[in-house]
Amino acid sequence: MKNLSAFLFSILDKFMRFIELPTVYLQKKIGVQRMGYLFVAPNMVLFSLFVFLPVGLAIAYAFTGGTNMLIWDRPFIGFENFSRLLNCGSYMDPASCEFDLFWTAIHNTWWYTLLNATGTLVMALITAVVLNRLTKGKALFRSIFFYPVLLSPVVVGLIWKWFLARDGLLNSLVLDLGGERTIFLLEVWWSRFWVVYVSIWFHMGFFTLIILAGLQAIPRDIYEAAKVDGTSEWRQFWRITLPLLTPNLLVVAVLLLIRSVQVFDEAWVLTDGGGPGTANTFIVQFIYQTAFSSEVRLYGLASAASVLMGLALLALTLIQVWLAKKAEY
Amino acid sequence: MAAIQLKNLHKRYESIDVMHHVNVDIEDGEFVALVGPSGCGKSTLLRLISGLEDITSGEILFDGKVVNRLSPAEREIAMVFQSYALYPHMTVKKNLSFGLENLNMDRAIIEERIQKAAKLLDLLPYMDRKPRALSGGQRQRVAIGRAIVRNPKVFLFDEPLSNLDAKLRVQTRGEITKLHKKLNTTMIYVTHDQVEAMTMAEKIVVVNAGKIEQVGKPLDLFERPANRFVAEFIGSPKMNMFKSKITNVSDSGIEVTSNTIDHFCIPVASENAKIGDSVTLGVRPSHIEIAESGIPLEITQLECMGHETFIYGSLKGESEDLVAHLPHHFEAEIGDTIYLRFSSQFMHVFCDKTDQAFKRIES
Ligand SMILES: Nc1ncnc2c1ncn2[C@@H]1O[C@H](COP(=O)(O)OP(=O)(O)OP(=O)(O)O)[C@@H](O)[C@H]1O
Ligand SMILES: [Mg+2]
Repeated sequence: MKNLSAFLFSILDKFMRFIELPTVYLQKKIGVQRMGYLFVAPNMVLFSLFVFLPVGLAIAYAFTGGTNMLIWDRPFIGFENFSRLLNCGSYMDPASCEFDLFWTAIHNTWWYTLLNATGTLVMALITAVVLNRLTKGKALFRSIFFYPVLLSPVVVGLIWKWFLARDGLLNSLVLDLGGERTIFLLEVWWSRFWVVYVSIWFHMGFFTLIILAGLQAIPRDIYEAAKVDGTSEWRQFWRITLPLLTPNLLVVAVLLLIRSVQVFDEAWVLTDGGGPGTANTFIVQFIYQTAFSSEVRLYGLASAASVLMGLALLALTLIQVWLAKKAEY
Repeated sequence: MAAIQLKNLHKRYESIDVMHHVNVDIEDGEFVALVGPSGCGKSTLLRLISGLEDITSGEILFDGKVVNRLSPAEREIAMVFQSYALYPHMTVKKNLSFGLENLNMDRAIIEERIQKAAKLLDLLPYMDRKPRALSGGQRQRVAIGRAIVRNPKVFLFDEPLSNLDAKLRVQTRGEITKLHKKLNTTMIYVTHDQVEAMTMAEKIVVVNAGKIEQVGKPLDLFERPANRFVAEFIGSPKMNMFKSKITNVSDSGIEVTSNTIDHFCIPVASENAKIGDSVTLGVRPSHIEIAESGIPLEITQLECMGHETFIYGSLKGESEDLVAHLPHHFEAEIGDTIYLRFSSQFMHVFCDKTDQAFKRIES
């Protein structure tokens, strides 16, 4: 063991000697201050290649038309994609829009986001508070709630699809209890309910963990001071725990909003592509279908839709930064 | 206001006993200091009294009534935490009023009480600030204010001054003493600083390893420590200790002999003493005098403060160094040999078997 570490150390030593000369030379050349950029450069290259470049391309595509794949074969059409997407009789009524599916998806996403974000936040908060009070089995329950997070979205979608299927576990339970068979995923409201439910089940553990960390960061003696002050449990929760948790909850809320707006994979699998009809078609699915799975592949339109979605997410993030500054105590 | 009695109080965490059958009586309106080394259980004892911690066995009585099962609020205590534990998201004003609002008290009365406390503690200019915008001393005053407004029966302080700098500590020490005089409420004050305890308290409880070593007035503890631990813990610099043997026992005291002193008679009660028993002699640095002849001491270190002098040195045949404190300036060089005299009426004798002190015969 000792020999091994000595050996590794000598290799490291040789390596350091090897790079010493060029490093010293570089430091002289570009200055110690700027060496930092050199170190992040490899990462920046990959990041540019796989993030900045595609984002830039998507924005460029948004201003082009036609069905050609390569950008230099595509005609520049200005804001036409945007104006067509936003061309609506009334934004409240998707049927009056030129791209009714886009607006259906927006409405679906909006409702999904509202229900999913609130539901997950409330459930994660309750779970975290309860977990935080447990004296025994805290670690066990924490892992149980966290476990779904480790699953792949497709697996989650499939598991629940089977569970909710016509001959699935839930229906056999319902039948055993004397109920009627329901084909959950083919009924509009049931399917919407289960999409939100599965999503809460899937992501809750992650947010529970963040909130739990926030709860544990509240000093114990503040609670003791509150106890000496004769604070009831209820009031303690509302007047001490919740305010001290606010910065944490804000982060959670915004993460939740962003993730909800981006909903796609597990819902897609669960509902077999956004069904029944378009009841569970969300924005990302619209973008995907428009660009890659429709007969006429409208890359420009899909890009314009993702730019719009990106702007909405940017706005949400800015609101979060602003709120987080305000919520500091 | 309340008198407090602790009867046979015992506390055990899982398998460790941290308080061992403690008995203490605290009178109504008394200022009591709990002192002891770190980890001895001072905070635990305070938390048991407060009700933040459940007791394992025994009884706590407030004004003769058992309060074992009452919550801190029902016991009507107020506590000042070492970390202050202010509510960080509330303004100073809100921090002060929060406890009163819990009682559904009338708004006007709350306002009156917090104004009074704020005036008393000089907090008026900071009422709308949050704790993070206050200095350590100001936070500390807010913590005290939060305790005062509730008109508690007992104030509990857990090392409230340990986060303050030396100057502010002395100042706040005086303020807390003044506050006690004014409010006349029972106060229990935890500190590991024996100077704080000696200067502030009317009664000191010395705790060591979960047991009470001695309870008494500050001067009593200084002059008549019941055992070696108290003798060494109270007083600064520490009491000097020498190994010795009993060579004679009489009605007027015990005669001892050691490497440095020969057939020296000390006026302490001798009924438990036997000739030949080994004992430890104790003498405080301030009870040592310089003489023309006597016990020779070679000076190894000298601290001259102008108006007082500390002399450190080694005695022939003793393993531990000796400290002498003279209340005046003293000219000497390191390496000099000087002669010391101990006066027998200020010496303490501790039995080596039990560490208990032989009782002093009062003249
Ligand atoms: N929750 C606990 N579980 C187990 N042991 C504990 C617990 N709280 C305290 N103890 C133990 O009880 C003993 C007394 O602790 P306590 O905090 O009362 O010491 P203290 O006298 O206040 O020390 P300090 O001066 O350092 O604050 C210590 O040995 C400590 O390890
Ligand atoms: Mg303590």
